[in-house]
Amino acid sequence: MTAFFTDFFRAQLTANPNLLNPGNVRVVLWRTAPSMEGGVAPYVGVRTVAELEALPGWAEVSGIAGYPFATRSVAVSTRTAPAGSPNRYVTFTQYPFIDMAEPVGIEAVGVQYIGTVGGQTNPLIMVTNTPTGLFQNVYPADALTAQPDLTPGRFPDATNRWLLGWAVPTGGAQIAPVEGPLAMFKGAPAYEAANTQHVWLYPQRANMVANPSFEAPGVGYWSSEGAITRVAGGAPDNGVWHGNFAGKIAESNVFPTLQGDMDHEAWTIQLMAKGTGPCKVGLVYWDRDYRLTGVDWGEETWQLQTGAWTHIACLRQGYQAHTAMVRIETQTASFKIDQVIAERGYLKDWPYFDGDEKYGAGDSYCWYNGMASQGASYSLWYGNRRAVMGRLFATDTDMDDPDVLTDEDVAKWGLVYQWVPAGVQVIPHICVFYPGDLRAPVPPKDPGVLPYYNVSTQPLGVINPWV
Amino acid sequence: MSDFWPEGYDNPAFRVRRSTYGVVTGGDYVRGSGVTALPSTALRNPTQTFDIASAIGKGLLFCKPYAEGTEAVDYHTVEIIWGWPQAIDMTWEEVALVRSSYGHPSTPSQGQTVFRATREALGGKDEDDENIAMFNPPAVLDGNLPSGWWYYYTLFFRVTTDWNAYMTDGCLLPANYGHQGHLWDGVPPFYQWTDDNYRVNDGFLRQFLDIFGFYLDNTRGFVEGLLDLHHIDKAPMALLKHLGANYGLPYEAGLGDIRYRALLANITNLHQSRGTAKSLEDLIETASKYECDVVGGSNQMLLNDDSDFFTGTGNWAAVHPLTDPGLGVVLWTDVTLATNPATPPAGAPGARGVMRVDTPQASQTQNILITLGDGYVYDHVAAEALREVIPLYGGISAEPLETFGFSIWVKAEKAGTTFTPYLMWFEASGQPPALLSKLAGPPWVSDLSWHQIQVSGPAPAGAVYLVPAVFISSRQTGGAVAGRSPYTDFAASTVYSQASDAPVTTVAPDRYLTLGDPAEQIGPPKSGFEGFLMGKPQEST
Repeated sequence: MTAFFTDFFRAQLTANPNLLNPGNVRVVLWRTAPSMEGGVAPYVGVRTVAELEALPGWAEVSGIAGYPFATRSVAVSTRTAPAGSPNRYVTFTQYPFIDMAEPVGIEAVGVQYIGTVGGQTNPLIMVTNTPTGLFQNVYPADALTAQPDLTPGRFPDATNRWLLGWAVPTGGAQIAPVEGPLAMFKGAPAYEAANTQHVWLYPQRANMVANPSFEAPGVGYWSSEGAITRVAGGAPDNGVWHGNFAGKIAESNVFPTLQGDMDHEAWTIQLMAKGTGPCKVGLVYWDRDYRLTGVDWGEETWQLQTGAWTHIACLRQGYQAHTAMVRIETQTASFKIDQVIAERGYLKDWPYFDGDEKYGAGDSYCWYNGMASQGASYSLWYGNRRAVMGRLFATDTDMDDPDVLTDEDVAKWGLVYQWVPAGVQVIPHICVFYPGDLRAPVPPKDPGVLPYYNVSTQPLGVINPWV
Repeated sequence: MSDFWPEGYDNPAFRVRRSTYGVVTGGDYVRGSGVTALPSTALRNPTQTFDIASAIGKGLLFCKPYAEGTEAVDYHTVEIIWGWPQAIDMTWEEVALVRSSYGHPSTPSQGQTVFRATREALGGKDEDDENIAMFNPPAVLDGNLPSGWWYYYTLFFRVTTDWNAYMTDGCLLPANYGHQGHLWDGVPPFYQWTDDNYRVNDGFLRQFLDIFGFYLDNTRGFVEGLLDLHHIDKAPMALLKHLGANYGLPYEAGLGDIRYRALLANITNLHQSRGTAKSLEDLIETASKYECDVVGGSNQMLLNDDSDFFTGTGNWAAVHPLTDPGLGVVLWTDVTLATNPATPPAGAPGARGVMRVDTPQASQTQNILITLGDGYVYDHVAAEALREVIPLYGGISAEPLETFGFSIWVKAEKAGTTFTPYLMWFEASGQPPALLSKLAGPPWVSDLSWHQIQVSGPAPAGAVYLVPAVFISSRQTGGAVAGRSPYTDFAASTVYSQASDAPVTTVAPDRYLTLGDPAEQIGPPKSGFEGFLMGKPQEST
């Protein structure tokens, strides 16, 4: 995997090789981060966590009690190993995540210097995804640590876990640190029986637009270059609310394309729109490395009307898209939208739905993360969920004689128990998109909209659909 | 003569003559005759028009291939009628008729909605918005359907926010095999000529034969339904339920017709891999239509009962007599391990069983070491060893430097008993004398409640098998069971890989996809591994 040190830190370390002897550091966790497979050049120039998160793809963990780790810093020190050599190692033991109230999925870890150096408070030292891989859930009982360095003759004692190290340069060259053999120490998991099988069930349809019909959370999860207001009445299909955009552009929340073990490229977007003149609908997307902003505007242009809702339905392709969002553009300011849906696959003829939809069996529709996130999250559909889940996974825990499992007993259980060896427990997980999905709240949408692409001034902008 | 009879009826092409004995109410008419027909002789259709009034309040749903008036039956349209069920007469707010060709829809979203209307739209509200008696329900024509298939309909009513399935029916929409043409071809040319003179291609005789032709088509459709019984996508649902029972998969009402049909279609593949995680995944995806991934849990114990004590005590046993842990323990034949109906600890949700350990009273103060994978499973009633468990077969695979954790919940009948968890490492032979080393966790002196003890540490160099163990010392006296020592209970045991010091490798995969350990290649020894390039030209011999 990949790591980088900021230029600022390298300069400070070169100026003062004892900067971390001793010193205090703090760990930063990113829920999403570029894979850095295409290089780290865009990032080494940042000085702080905030500067890094201004770049596409970097989203720090939020909404978790106990994070950021405001009060926890870990002491480190620098040692020469072996004695007399030019090799310096900043050693530590571990950085525990015990302050977090709940687990969280992360894609990268950063290390912050605690204090002020070079006029900068709490500068960023390094960022790495070595201990996380492309993605990992970390729990409060886990810790960031380093594999013990057992290189013969290097460390004569047990202080052999190093965070970073460097060889003293000659001729006044800048220090070029490298990361240590960082790893994640996993705490004890919650009890489960041996051979337990976890079944992660993915929705048949998922509307990834949060707040798709402007109901519960007002105008949250949408952004525009103009004002957004929520309007009561006049919504299509006897709905209550719709959204009014004073500008020409509307952007949805940024959502992941992952389901199962693969990112999905094919997307269907539908919405109802009112306004004046032409309208374009695009899927804006980024790959795992966030090096470029892609967009598929399609070939279609819809002519909006002020007096009637226009049903817009289109298919879009996001090549190697890892995250994406919907962007709607008009050429005349002020337009209205409602019932927006963006879902995986080509399902153009399927009707709109959100987590409040009822046309199905009970509980077939839901909000990702439950009713607590009504309107503020993704919408999922599992057809006839109650009956199917019951028939597949039900267990009869009141067996008369638990010492003897018979075919008759198993027949009373869910169907899955006829397909596994006796005694195996099958645990279903629903309303998830991938194994280990912790169902974190949907991140809020940053205000404003992406600028148009310009090769010199806006290289990460979005292609203008009107030229 | 009624206006109903078309021109030319005065001189029909032929007459059907039959005897009549008494009058049949509601029977069909015999053309040209002034009397009604007998049940045994009448040509019967159910009726030309549905008797809707008789269905009201009876919760009936009926569907059939559509025929308009006296015209030939339409092979592409199904007509559906129903009555308002009294059970929910004044409570429902919306109605929906849903069709599927794979079985009766269980939910409104499981098929194509053919008809949907609110109570208000059907006249079920008065000016005060109060529920009132409904109009007659509409007869719905479901057209443009491919012929040759069964179509199943379910009528749903919405009460508050829940859609409830109330009535179902299905019918075969037969393929047009052209039987009417065959019948027509069998009629003497004179009658064909005469019939076409009355009305080209739509004369009385042709219409008459169309009726028989349709029912011959329909009959053939039923017959071919039997022939297609093992064509799961086409078999009629009524037959498919019995077919499933023959395959050992009785009908699953909870899944509904459509999912059951899909499950049956894949049943042979599922049986072939039954018992594997992949088969479990396939079963769930087939039966639910939800994509899924099946992932094994984190507990690395070999048997369910090793951890759960639900139906047995698994590979747990007093330590093997050939293993020398250096702890001074009671002989293995004295130690009884058995499941017990005691309540598992509340602190371990999901734990289902308890293992109880005790000894004869004579040895109640001696230390015990129980292990998972190194001892004899002993039947104390028959006083014989049932099987020997050694690390080679009962131990947990370990890699040097891989860090493992072992935890187990313990409880003692008497306070003051000391429990110490151990990780015992064995060499590659996996035999009891091959104990490499052991690592003790913090001991715990019991009170009378459940407590979790835990130990973790890296596997030492040379370790291949891990055997978790619990050392019980400072044992107390005065147990409640006569002749036995005070008991100790165990539950919710876990061995997990902490994956801390070797989980993430920065070593790239072998780009040449070489397999195995080069040092173990058969052939002359090499000083190192010599890779090869795929596609390298073969040298001539």
